[in-house]
Amino acid sequence: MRLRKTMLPLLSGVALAAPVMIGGTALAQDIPLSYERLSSMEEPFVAELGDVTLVLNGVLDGAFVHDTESSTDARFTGNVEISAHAQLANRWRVGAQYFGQYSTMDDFDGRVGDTYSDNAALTAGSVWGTLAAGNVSGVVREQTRRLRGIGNGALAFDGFLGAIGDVGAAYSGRFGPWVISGAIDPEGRFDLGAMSQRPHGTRDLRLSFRAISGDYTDADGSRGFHTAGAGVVGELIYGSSAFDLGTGYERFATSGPNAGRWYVSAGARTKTGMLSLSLEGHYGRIGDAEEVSAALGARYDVARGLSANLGVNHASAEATTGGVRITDTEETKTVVSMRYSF
Amino acid sequence: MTRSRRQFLSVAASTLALAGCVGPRVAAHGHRSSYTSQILKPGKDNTVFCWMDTALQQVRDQRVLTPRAAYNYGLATAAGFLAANGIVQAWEEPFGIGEGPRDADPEVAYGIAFAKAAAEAFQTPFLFERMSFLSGFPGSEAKSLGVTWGEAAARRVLEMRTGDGSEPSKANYYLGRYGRRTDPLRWRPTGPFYGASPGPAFPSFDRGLFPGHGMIIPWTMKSGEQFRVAAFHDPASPEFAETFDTVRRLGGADSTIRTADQSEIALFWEDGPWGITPPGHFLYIAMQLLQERDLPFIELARAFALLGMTQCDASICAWDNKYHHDVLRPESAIRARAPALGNPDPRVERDPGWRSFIPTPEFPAYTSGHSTFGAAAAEMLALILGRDDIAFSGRSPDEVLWPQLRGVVRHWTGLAHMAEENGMSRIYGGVHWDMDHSAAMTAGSALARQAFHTTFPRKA
Repeated sequence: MRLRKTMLPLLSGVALAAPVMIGGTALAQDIPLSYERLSSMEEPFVAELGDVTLVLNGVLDGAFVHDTESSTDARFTGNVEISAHAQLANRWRVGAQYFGQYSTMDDFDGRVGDTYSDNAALTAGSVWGTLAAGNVSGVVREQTRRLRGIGNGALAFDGFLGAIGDVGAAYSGRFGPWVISGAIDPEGRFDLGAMSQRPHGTRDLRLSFRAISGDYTDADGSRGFHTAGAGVVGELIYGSSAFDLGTGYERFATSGPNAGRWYVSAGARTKTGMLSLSLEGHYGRIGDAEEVSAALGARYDVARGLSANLGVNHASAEATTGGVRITDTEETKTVVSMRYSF
Repeated sequence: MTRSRRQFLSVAASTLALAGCVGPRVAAHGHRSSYTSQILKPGKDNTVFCWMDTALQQVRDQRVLTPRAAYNYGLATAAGFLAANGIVQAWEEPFGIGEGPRDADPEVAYGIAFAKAAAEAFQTPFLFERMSFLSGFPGSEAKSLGVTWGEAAARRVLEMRTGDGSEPSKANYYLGRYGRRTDPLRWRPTGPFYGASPGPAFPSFDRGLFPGHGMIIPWTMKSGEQFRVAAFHDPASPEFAETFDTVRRLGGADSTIRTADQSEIALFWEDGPWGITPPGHFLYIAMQLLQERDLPFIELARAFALLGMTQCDASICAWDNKYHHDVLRPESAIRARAPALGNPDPRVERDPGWRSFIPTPEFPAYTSGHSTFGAAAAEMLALILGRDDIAFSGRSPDEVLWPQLRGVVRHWTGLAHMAEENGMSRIYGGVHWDMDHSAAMTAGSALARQAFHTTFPRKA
């Protein structure tokens, strides 16, 4: 089945991370002492060249993945993001980012074996917003999605199955309490979103809308659908807990069979001390077929940049219309990993 | 594949319409998301308060962190006043913005310049806020001239502030700006070990926040180092043993000596990690107090420029001190490093299970940003009002992070009382040493006094 690739959250400025030795000593030491040593290793990875600030971030993740229908595998993932930012004399902000990820085995996005993937983009921004060109198809999704699962929790099917092409142009700008975003690819597929977050009394509310006109390839990889979808996400934060609910409708169309899909996803997450937990569920239908998924995620922050992560993720969907298998997934995975990010 | 223009427009229109239903501008006075709605009496809203409210809401909605919030408040309030003063020519100013057309409307110029500078600070055009603001002025030559001059004055302010060090300071790296201590007092990232509940979630062991912020060119100080404070205690000294013991017993989550009132004070002044932040809280209090004075427009604009600029300078002063002195937080000392401090006093002992009452911020302790902001604001307000002994009451502007504050109203006998309570809140909360507070109070007051007497003197 085709699922969305992990995208570089370019405009949000969220940084993923990369290499540097972790060393077994970090785990063996008393917890309150270990992060000091780790943090000192980060400084060499930034520099200022004139007015340009260069930053390198990365993640190293070593995991054991257990699939209920196969053996337990080891997985290593390392990624790196290099970014350069500067403010011009006219106060425009320009930047360039490169993100690369290496993974040694099948991951939840469907890659198999050793893989290396990368994204790159150029950005230019002013008070009117930021324009980006490159691998920016995830911009709207990142701004309007439900919160990600904690640790290795990843809820399948959450959001639209259809997507726009990886390469294109994107925009993101703030107007009052709203952040408006859009992305378009050379084929004319587009993704639009709006998000607002502000407190109401003792609760913090976030509301986001997203609409997309994209493409989707069936589970066999042989049939392409045009898709059009619209969705909404609401999120409430109270204290150190967050609760969210997302729902959407997506239409699959070809010259042959057509299908409609609706879904509801919900989740809760909380953090107490160094332990963070998330629990999410999803139910949807494509035609008469159900799609169900659930995810439990946990992260324990061991030290500066170092965390232990857990995810138990279940996904089940088999939808066929007019002899075309739109989705075909049945899996339950448990992922346990140690991760170092900087 | 081909996409129809109709399909694109219909999806775009529906998305934007949904967004538009909730409003594309910050909440107007009277709306429950507006801060002026909480404190202004009927008929007290005006141009200065309107734009202050806009800036406060942007800080909240964008979750701007404290030092950046102070910078943004300073830039916008300074630009607004300098534009209006360029027309009125009532006060001297050291930045050479120049004279505007005498027939221009100074309030229009204030709003336009504030909006343009704030737009750069917050990276949003304030398009609908500007339109709404200008609709309140009937069409006239004075209005047109005010718009033109407001734009020009803001451009000059922005040209002056471009390259002021604020842009690269956003990176959470030292970049060689400040050296690190090598002794046991050295600061290190702290964890989420706090006891108040419910309270906000935030990342564990974050990097130090904005180590370059203390290098930004200040508005009213001669340099960011001008009010650099004396060295911190020797960790082996009796003074350090005393402060260690005080914070451990008073500021712990399970303290048996902290009173209920002190606990309330710790939460009341927390003002973070997001919301309008401590400098915003003091600007909010300034609006509450200055509405009673019915100051002429230009004097009110000057007052908020001085307040905004000194809050910005207070952030620069505090951050310079923090990263220059590089002193660890009580959490790190009490939970882990006590044995390494070399203090012979038996009270300086490690307590691995100790938690502060409120969250420890992710930057060095010495000096206290809260105390610097509070002292600067109290001193400046007292100078503007001509007295300190103003009894008043207040509520927390943001209750979302600490729902326990709903309905809580605190009372102060004067501005100095307010500032002292604000600073002590950090010791009650277990995130600062006594000396962080006392040294910051001295620095904050001094920088405000200097700013008041030297920055915008009345023209002869």
